[in-house]
Amino acid sequence: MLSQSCKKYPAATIWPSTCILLVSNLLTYCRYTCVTGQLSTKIAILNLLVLGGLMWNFWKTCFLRLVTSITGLQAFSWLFGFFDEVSAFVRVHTLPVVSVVIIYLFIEYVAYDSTKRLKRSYTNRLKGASIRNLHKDALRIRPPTLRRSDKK
Amino acid sequence: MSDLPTAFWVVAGVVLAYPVLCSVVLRMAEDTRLELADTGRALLQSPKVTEEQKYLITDMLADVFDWKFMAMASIALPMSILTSSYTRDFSEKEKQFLYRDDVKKFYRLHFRSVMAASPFFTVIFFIVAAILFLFVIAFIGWSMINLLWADTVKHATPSAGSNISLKATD
Repeated sequence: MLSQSCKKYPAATIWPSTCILLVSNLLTYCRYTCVTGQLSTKIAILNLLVLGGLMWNFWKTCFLRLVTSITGLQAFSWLFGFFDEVSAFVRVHTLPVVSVVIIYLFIEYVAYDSTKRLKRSYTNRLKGASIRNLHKDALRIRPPTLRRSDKK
Repeated sequence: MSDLPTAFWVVAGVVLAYPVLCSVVLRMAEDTRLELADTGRALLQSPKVTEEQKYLITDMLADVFDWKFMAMASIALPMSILTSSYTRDFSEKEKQFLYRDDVKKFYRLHFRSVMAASPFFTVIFFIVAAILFLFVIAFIGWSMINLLWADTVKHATPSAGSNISLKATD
């Protein structure tokens, strides 16, 4: 698995991105510690989650795909520093915030439906084409593991 | 409502407008995508294209609705330039393949299609590309742009494109 990962993604692509994410995450942690004067267990756990996510993704050969989700975590971590202000804002302005969320969900639903139709017309156009099995799927296939009963 | 800060309206406007924008851009790019499908189908049937190239073409056909592709391309492009992998990673045979007119067209259509899938990351990609090109374009030269994008695709495509299922027919 790891060797496939190395073939697919040169180290030059992986490690700089990893370092940037980790350093910026640690800076968030330091910033929080300096501002509040106390260590945040929650942010430390988020850091561990980011690190764990990175290692897991690297192992699974999906690093680049999930960089975005880690960046999402990173953004959440940044947001965490302002969590009290945000929650206070939501308490004061509950109605407009909830309205925006409901409108957003409605728009997302309409957009999702429209995208689904576009995807269908695209895949229909490709019907009958001699599509090869996707590399991605091939990479996901794990070698069969030997069961305990087989070893005997 | 009047006591809400301007920042709230700006954030709300952006959050609400983005899915609409994505949807409109995706719809506008439909003709490009269908043309890409036709070009891809022709390339997959061509006996002059190797099996390995056909795998890449299939991967690229699966990328078109994936917003993550441009995010990855924003990372892969600078890496490709900084490590000069676009000059090293292609054999003469691959270069000949990339300079074929139908393949160039396929790459061009693929570029437009993946751009439409993620307007936000397209903007990021262009900012990254603009910064890089300001410093590096004089050394690369326009003739290498094709190879550069092909190398970027090669690195970005393996982990994108999982949100539609293309079925093998043979």
